[in-house]
Amino acid sequence: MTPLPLRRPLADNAVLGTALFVFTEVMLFAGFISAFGIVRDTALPGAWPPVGQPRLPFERTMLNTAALLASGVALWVAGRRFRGPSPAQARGWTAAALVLGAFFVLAQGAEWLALLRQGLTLRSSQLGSFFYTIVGAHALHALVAILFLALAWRAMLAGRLTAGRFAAVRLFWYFVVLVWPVLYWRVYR
Amino acid sequence: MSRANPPMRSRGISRRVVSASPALATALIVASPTLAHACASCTGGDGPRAQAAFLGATAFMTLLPLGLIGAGILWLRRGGREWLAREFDDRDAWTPPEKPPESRGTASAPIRSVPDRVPAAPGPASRS
Repeated sequence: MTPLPLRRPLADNAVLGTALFVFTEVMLFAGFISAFGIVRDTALPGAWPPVGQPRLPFERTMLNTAALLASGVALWVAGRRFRGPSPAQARGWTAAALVLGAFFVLAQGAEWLALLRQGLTLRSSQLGSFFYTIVGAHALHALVAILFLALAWRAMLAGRLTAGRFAAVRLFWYFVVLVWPVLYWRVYR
Repeated sequence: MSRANPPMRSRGISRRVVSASPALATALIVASPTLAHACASCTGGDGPRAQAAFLGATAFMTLLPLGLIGAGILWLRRGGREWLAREFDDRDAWTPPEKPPESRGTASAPIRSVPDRVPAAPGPASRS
Protein backbone atom coordinates (compact mmCIF):
# COMPACT_ATOMS: atom_id res chain seq x y z
CA MET A 1 0.00 0.00 0.00
CA THR A 2 1.49 3.32 -1.06
CA PRO A 3 0.83 6.08 1.47
CA LEU A 4 -0.54 9.31 0.06
CA PRO A 5 1.42 12.48 0.82
CA LEU A 6 -0.02 14.24 3.84
CA ARG A 7 -1.66 17.58 3.09
CA ARG A 8 -0.12 20.56 4.74
CA PRO A 9 -2.63 22.59 6.76
CA LEU A 10 -3.60 25.96 5.33
CA ALA A 11 -2.66 27.87 8.46
CA ASP A 12 -1.21 27.26 11.85
CA ASN A 13 -3.73 25.66 14.19
CA ALA A 14 -3.43 28.51 16.66
CA VAL A 15 -4.07 31.09 13.96
CA LEU A 16 -7.06 29.21 12.56
CA GLY A 17 -8.58 28.77 15.98
CA THR A 18 -8.04 32.41 16.86
CA ALA A 19 -9.54 33.52 13.55
CA LEU A 20 -12.69 31.49 14.18
CA PHE A 21 -12.95 32.90 17.70
CA VAL A 22 -12.44 36.45 16.45
CA PHE A 23 -15.23 35.92 13.93
CA THR A 24 -17.67 34.95 16.68
CA GLU A 25 -16.61 37.87 18.86
CA VAL A 26 -17.07 40.29 15.96
CA MET A 27 -20.65 39.09 15.70
CA LEU A 28 -21.07 39.50 19.46
CA PHE A 29 -20.04 43.14 19.31
CA ALA A 30 -22.10 43.65 16.19
CA GLY A 31 -25.13 42.50 18.15
CA PHE A 32 -24.29 44.87 20.99
CA ILE A 33 -23.87 47.80 18.62
CA SER A 34 -27.07 47.02 16.76
CA ALA A 35 -29.12 46.81 19.93
CA PHE A 36 -27.60 50.04 21.23
CA GLY A 37 -28.31 51.78 17.95
CA ILE A 38 -31.92 50.70 17.96
CA VAL A 39 -32.50 51.82 21.54
CA ARG A 40 -30.88 55.18 20.87
CA ASP A 41 -32.66 55.82 17.59
CA THR A 42 -36.07 54.78 18.85
CA ALA A 43 -35.88 57.02 21.91
CA LEU A 44 -38.31 59.89 22.00
CA PRO A 45 -36.94 63.30 20.99
CA GLY A 46 -35.16 64.84 23.97
CA ALA A 47 -35.07 61.56 25.86
CA TRP A 48 -31.57 60.60 24.73
CA PRO A 49 -29.19 60.80 26.43
CA PRO A 50 -31.28 60.00 29.51
CA VAL A 51 -32.00 62.92 31.76
CA GLY A 52 -29.79 63.20 34.82
CA GLN A 53 -27.03 61.00 33.43
CA PRO A 54 -23.48 62.30 32.92
CA ARG A 55 -22.23 62.88 29.42
CA LEU A 56 -19.72 60.33 28.22
CA PRO A 57 -16.15 61.74 28.00
CA PHE A 58 -15.76 61.64 24.24
CA GLU A 59 -12.79 64.01 24.08
CA ARG A 60 -10.89 62.53 27.01
CA THR A 61 -11.26 59.00 25.62
CA MET A 62 -9.49 60.11 22.45
CA LEU A 63 -6.18 59.77 24.29
CA ASN A 64 -7.03 56.22 25.35
CA THR A 65 -8.05 55.40 21.80
CA ALA A 66 -4.80 56.81 20.43
CA ALA A 67 -2.82 54.70 22.89
CA LEU A 68 -4.64 51.54 21.85
CA LEU A 69 -4.15 52.27 18.16
CA ALA A 70 -0.47 52.94 18.81
CA SER A 71 -0.20 49.56 20.53
CA GLY A 72 -1.59 47.94 17.40
CA VAL A 73 1.02 49.67 15.27
CA ALA A 74 3.78 48.67 17.69
CA LEU A 75 2.70 45.05 17.58
CA TRP A 76 2.56 45.12 13.81
CA VAL A 77 6.14 46.33 13.71
CA ALA A 78 7.04 43.63 16.22
CA GLY A 79 5.55 41.04 13.90
CA ARG A 80 7.64 42.29 11.00
CA ARG A 81 10.82 42.26 13.11
CA PHE A 82 10.06 38.78 14.41
CA ARG A 83 10.03 37.38 10.90
CA GLY A 84 13.11 39.33 9.92
CA PRO A 85 16.80 38.42 10.20
CA SER A 86 16.98 39.63 13.80
CA PRO A 87 13.94 38.46 15.76
CA ALA A 88 15.33 39.94 18.97
CA GLN A 89 14.33 43.37 17.69
CA ALA A 90 10.73 42.38 18.22
CA ARG A 91 11.10 42.33 21.99
CA GLY A 92 11.10 46.07 22.44
CA TRP A 93 8.17 46.63 20.13
CA THR A 94 6.19 43.90 21.83
CA ALA A 95 6.91 45.43 25.20
CA ALA A 96 5.77 48.80 23.87
CA ALA A 97 2.51 47.28 22.68
CA LEU A 98 2.04 45.73 26.12
CA VAL A 99 2.62 49.01 27.91
CA LEU A 100 0.29 50.96 25.64
CA GLY A 101 -2.41 48.32 25.97
CA ALA A 102 -2.10 48.32 29.72
CA PHE A 103 -2.33 52.12 29.71
CA PHE A 104 -5.57 51.88 27.75
CA VAL A 105 -7.13 49.45 30.19
CA LEU A 106 -6.04 51.45 33.22
CA ALA A 107 -7.25 54.72 31.72
CA GLN A 108 -10.60 53.17 30.92
CA GLY A 109 -10.81 51.91 34.47
CA ALA A 110 -10.18 55.39 35.81
CA GLU A 111 -12.84 56.71 33.48
CA TRP A 112 -15.30 54.15 34.79
CA LEU A 113 -14.65 55.21 38.37
CA ALA A 114 -15.31 58.82 37.46
CA LEU A 115 -18.57 57.92 35.72
CA LEU A 116 -19.70 55.78 38.62
CA ARG A 117 -19.13 58.70 40.99
CA GLN A 118 -21.19 60.90 38.68
CA GLY A 119 -24.13 58.51 38.82
CA LEU A 120 -23.82 56.43 35.65
CA THR A 121 -24.22 52.83 36.77
CA LEU A 122 -25.28 49.56 35.20
CA ARG A 123 -28.85 50.09 36.43
CA SER A 124 -29.17 53.84 36.35
CA SER A 125 -30.41 54.01 32.75
CA GLN A 126 -30.33 52.29 29.39
CA LEU A 127 -27.23 54.32 28.57
CA GLY A 128 -25.49 52.97 31.65
CA SER A 129 -26.55 49.40 30.91
CA PHE A 130 -25.30 49.50 27.37
CA PHE A 131 -22.15 51.46 28.19
CA TYR A 132 -20.90 49.08 30.85
CA THR A 133 -21.95 45.99 28.90
CA ILE A 134 -20.30 47.01 25.65
CA VAL A 135 -17.23 48.72 27.02
CA GLY A 136 -16.92 46.12 29.74
CA ALA A 137 -16.96 43.29 27.22
CA HIS A 138 -14.24 45.05 25.27
CA ALA A 139 -12.21 45.61 28.43
CA LEU A 140 -12.48 41.91 29.23
CA HIS A 141 -11.17 41.04 25.79
CA ALA A 142 -8.39 43.59 26.20
CA LEU A 143 -7.35 42.06 29.52
CA VAL A 144 -7.18 38.58 28.02
CA ALA A 145 -5.23 39.94 25.05
CA ILE A 146 -2.76 41.60 27.42
CA LEU A 147 -2.33 38.35 29.30
CA PHE A 148 -1.69 36.38 26.10
CA LEU A 149 0.70 39.02 24.83
CA ALA A 150 2.60 39.03 28.11
CA LEU A 151 2.96 35.24 27.97
CA ALA A 152 4.13 35.47 24.35
CA TRP A 153 6.63 38.16 25.29
CA ARG A 154 8.00 35.98 28.05
CA ALA A 155 8.35 33.09 25.62
CA MET A 156 10.04 35.44 23.17
CA LEU A 157 12.59 36.44 25.77
CA ALA A 158 13.29 32.77 26.42
CA GLY A 159 13.59 32.02 22.71
CA ARG A 160 10.65 29.63 22.76
CA LEU A 161 8.08 31.65 20.85
CA THR A 162 6.96 30.12 17.56
CA ALA A 163 5.73 32.08 14.57
CA GLY A 164 2.31 30.49 14.72
CA ARG A 165 1.75 31.28 18.36
CA PHE A 166 2.90 34.88 17.95
CA ALA A 167 0.66 35.28 14.91
CA ALA A 168 -2.34 34.05 16.86
CA VAL A 169 -1.64 36.47 19.70
CA ARG A 170 -1.18 39.32 17.26
CA LEU A 171 -4.43 38.45 15.48
CA PHE A 172 -6.38 38.65 18.70
CA TRP A 173 -4.67 41.93 19.61
CA TYR A 174 -5.56 43.42 16.22
CA PHE A 175 -9.18 42.45 16.80
CA VAL A 176 -9.21 44.22 20.19
CA VAL A 177 -7.57 47.30 18.67
CA LEU A 178 -9.70 47.54 15.54
CA VAL A 179 -13.07 46.92 17.18
CA TRP A 180 -12.53 49.71 19.71
CA PRO A 181 -12.84 52.70 17.31
CA VAL A 182 -16.21 51.34 16.16
CA LEU A 183 -17.43 51.01 19.73
CA TYR A 184 -15.97 54.39 20.65
CA TRP A 185 -17.68 56.14 17.79
CA ARG A 186 -21.07 54.47 18.29
CA VAL A 187 -21.25 54.58 22.07
CA TYR A 188 -19.42 57.72 23.13
CA ARG A 189 -20.62 60.06 20.43
CA MET B 1 -44.79 6.22 -17.96
CA SER B 2 -45.38 4.46 -14.62
CA ARG B 3 -48.50 4.90 -12.55
CA ALA B 4 -46.48 4.98 -9.31
CA ASN B 5 -44.62 8.11 -10.33
CA PRO B 6 -46.59 9.97 -12.98
CA PRO B 7 -44.98 12.96 -14.64
CA MET B 8 -45.70 16.30 -13.06
CA ARG B 9 -47.71 17.49 -16.02
CA SER B 10 -50.24 14.76 -15.51
CA ARG B 11 -50.74 15.90 -11.90
CA GLY B 12 -51.80 19.34 -13.02
CA ILE B 13 -48.53 21.00 -11.95
CA SER B 14 -46.41 22.35 -14.72
CA ARG B 15 -42.67 21.90 -14.26
CA ARG B 16 -42.22 25.50 -15.25
CA VAL B 17 -44.50 26.69 -12.46
CA VAL B 18 -42.66 24.61 -9.88
CA SER B 19 -39.25 25.84 -10.92
CA ALA B 20 -40.44 29.42 -11.11
CA SER B 21 -42.11 29.40 -7.70
CA PRO B 22 -39.12 30.79 -5.76
CA ALA B 23 -38.74 33.60 -8.25
CA LEU B 24 -42.45 34.35 -8.12
CA ALA B 25 -42.44 34.41 -4.33
CA THR B 26 -39.44 36.72 -4.25
CA ALA B 27 -41.04 39.07 -6.78
CA LEU B 28 -44.23 39.15 -4.73
CA ILE B 29 -42.36 40.00 -1.55
CA VAL B 30 -40.31 42.70 -3.20
CA ALA B 31 -43.28 44.22 -4.96
CA SER B 32 -45.48 44.21 -1.89
CA PRO B 33 -43.30 45.25 1.05
CA THR B 34 -46.22 45.99 3.30
CA LEU B 35 -47.44 42.42 2.94
CA ALA B 36 -43.99 41.09 3.88
CA HIS B 37 -43.66 43.11 7.10
CA ALA B 38 -44.46 40.55 9.76
CA CYS B 39 -42.34 42.03 12.55
CA ALA B 40 -44.36 44.15 14.97
CA SER B 41 -41.26 46.01 16.03
CA CYS B 42 -40.19 46.89 12.51
CA THR B 43 -43.62 48.13 11.52
CA GLY B 44 -44.49 49.56 14.91
CA GLY B 45 -45.98 52.95 15.45
CA ASP B 46 -42.76 54.68 16.52
CA GLY B 47 -42.32 56.33 13.18
CA PRO B 48 -39.95 56.13 10.25
CA ARG B 49 -36.88 56.67 12.46
CA ALA B 50 -37.58 53.49 14.40
CA GLN B 51 -38.28 51.54 11.24
CA ALA B 52 -35.04 52.78 9.72
CA ALA B 53 -33.15 51.78 12.85
CA PHE B 54 -34.57 48.26 12.81
CA LEU B 55 -34.04 47.77 9.12
CA GLY B 56 -30.51 49.16 9.34
CA ALA B 57 -29.64 46.86 12.19
CA THR B 58 -31.12 43.88 10.36
CA ALA B 59 -29.19 44.68 7.22
CA PHE B 60 -26.00 45.18 9.22
CA MET B 61 -26.31 41.89 11.11
CA THR B 62 -27.16 40.05 7.91
CA LEU B 63 -24.44 41.46 5.70
CA LEU B 64 -21.62 41.51 8.24
CA PRO B 65 -21.04 37.73 8.49
CA LEU B 66 -21.50 37.31 4.77
CA GLY B 67 -19.04 40.09 4.14
CA LEU B 68 -16.49 38.64 6.53
CA ILE B 69 -16.72 35.18 5.01
CA GLY B 70 -16.63 36.56 1.48
CA ALA B 71 -13.64 38.76 2.28
CA GLY B 72 -11.85 35.79 3.77
CA ILE B 73 -12.48 33.64 0.72
CA LEU B 74 -11.45 36.46 -1.59
CA TRP B 75 -8.25 37.00 0.36
CA LEU B 76 -7.40 33.31 0.20
CA ARG B 77 -7.97 33.20 -3.53
CA ARG B 78 -5.90 36.32 -4.16
CA GLY B 79 -2.67 35.32 -2.50
CA GLY B 80 -3.70 34.58 1.03
CA ARG B 81 -2.61 30.98 0.72
CA GLU B 82 0.85 32.03 -0.43
CA TRP B 83 1.12 34.55 2.38
CA LEU B 84 0.18 31.91 4.93
CA ALA B 85 2.68 29.48 3.45
CA ARG B 86 5.45 32.12 3.62
CA GLU B 87 4.45 33.26 7.08
CA PHE B 88 4.57 29.79 8.55
CA ASP B 89 7.51 28.20 6.81
CA ASP B 90 8.68 26.85 10.11
CA ARG B 91 5.24 26.07 11.47
CA ASP B 92 5.23 23.59 14.28
CA ALA B 93 1.69 22.40 13.63
CA TRP B 94 2.74 20.10 10.79
CA THR B 95 5.57 17.63 11.01
CA PRO B 96 6.26 15.37 8.03
CA PRO B 97 6.67 11.68 8.84
CA GLU B 98 10.30 10.57 8.98
CA LYS B 99 9.67 7.40 7.00
CA PRO B 100 6.64 5.79 5.47
CA PRO B 101 4.83 3.40 7.81
CA GLU B 102 5.56 -0.27 7.12
CA SER B 103 2.68 -2.45 6.06
CA ARG B 104 2.00 -5.05 8.76
CA GLY B 105 -1.35 -6.35 7.63
CA THR B 106 -4.89 -5.08 7.57
CA ALA B 107 -5.08 -3.93 11.20
CA SER B 108 -2.11 -1.63 11.00
CA ALA B 109 -2.49 -0.56 7.41
CA PRO B 110 -2.26 3.23 6.96
CA ILE B 111 -5.59 4.93 6.57
CA ARG B 112 -4.57 7.29 3.79
CA SER B 113 -3.31 4.94 1.14
CA VAL B 114 -4.15 3.55 -2.26
CA PRO B 115 -3.77 -0.07 -3.27
CA ASP B 116 -0.82 -0.89 -5.45
CA ARG B 117 -1.50 -2.13 -8.92
CA VAL B 118 -1.83 -5.87 -9.12
CA PRO B 119 1.40 -7.13 -10.65
CA ALA B 120 0.96 -8.67 -14.05
CA ALA B 121 1.30 -12.42 -14.32
CA PRO B 122 4.78 -13.46 -15.50
CA GLY B 123 5.00 -14.16 -19.20
CA PRO B 124 6.23 -17.40 -20.72
CA ALA B 125 9.75 -15.90 -21.25
CA SER B 126 10.32 -15.48 -17.52
CA ARG B 127 9.62 -19.14 -16.80
CA SER B 128 12.75 -21.12 -16.55
